Amino acid sequence: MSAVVWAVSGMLFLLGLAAVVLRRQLLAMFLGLELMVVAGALALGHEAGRAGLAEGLVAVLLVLAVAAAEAVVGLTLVLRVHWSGRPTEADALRELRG
Amino acid sequence: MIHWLVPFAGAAAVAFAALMLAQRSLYAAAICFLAVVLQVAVLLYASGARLLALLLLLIYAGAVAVLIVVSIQASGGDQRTAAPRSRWNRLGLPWPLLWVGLLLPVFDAALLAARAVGTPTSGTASDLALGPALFGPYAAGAEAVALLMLFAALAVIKSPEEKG
Repeated sequence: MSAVVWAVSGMLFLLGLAAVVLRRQLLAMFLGLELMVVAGALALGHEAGRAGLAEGLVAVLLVLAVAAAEAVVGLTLVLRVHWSGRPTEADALRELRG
Repeated sequence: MIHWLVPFAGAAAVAFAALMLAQRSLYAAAICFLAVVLQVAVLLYASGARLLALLLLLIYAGAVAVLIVVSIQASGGDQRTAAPRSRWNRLGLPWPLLWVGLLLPVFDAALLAARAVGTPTSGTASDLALGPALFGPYAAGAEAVALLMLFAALAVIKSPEEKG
């Protein structure tokens, strides 16, 4: 069971990484990032749950909360790019202002 | 039965993650992501981290997935990939994919419920120890994360310069 979960976690992480690298739309890249976070949470949560370690569950819970905050900031950035009139694609964002 | 459920949920999670990568429609990719999260919650539940599975559903399937869909709508990010005359959906969202993604967790839950018949429903030891650990030795970390979430929520607010 543990090997299966670790394999699933690794494949989910690789697929998320592939989404970040291969997709050009910011929202699709963001989905890939979230998939990588979920893959890491799965591996850590599985080991913590199997061993009965409350500290591991606390770590996963804090990671999920930070990922939720990251989601808010990331999606806000995507929306602000859209409101500024630029396309929400990675290729169009090559310069910083200020 | 739980040993059979884990490979099934894992295979479904990987399949939907691959589908997410292949989808052109952002709505369809978001639905695939939601299906992956549901299957990962099943895996966590089967691993004994029941409370964590529930929190994953609350945070990701509840909050983050809704934020993603609202962001897709607000940014018009799916205009180029939508297929209004599609056989399946005006948004280019394949209905079979949607139904399979949302019905698979029901199937998983039925398997888990069939396994749990006659067994006590109390939480596992790690779940019961999560609260005291979270608000005991890790209270400072929990407070820091709560503050971070507050500051993240402030990022949505437009400054007066941006409004002007």
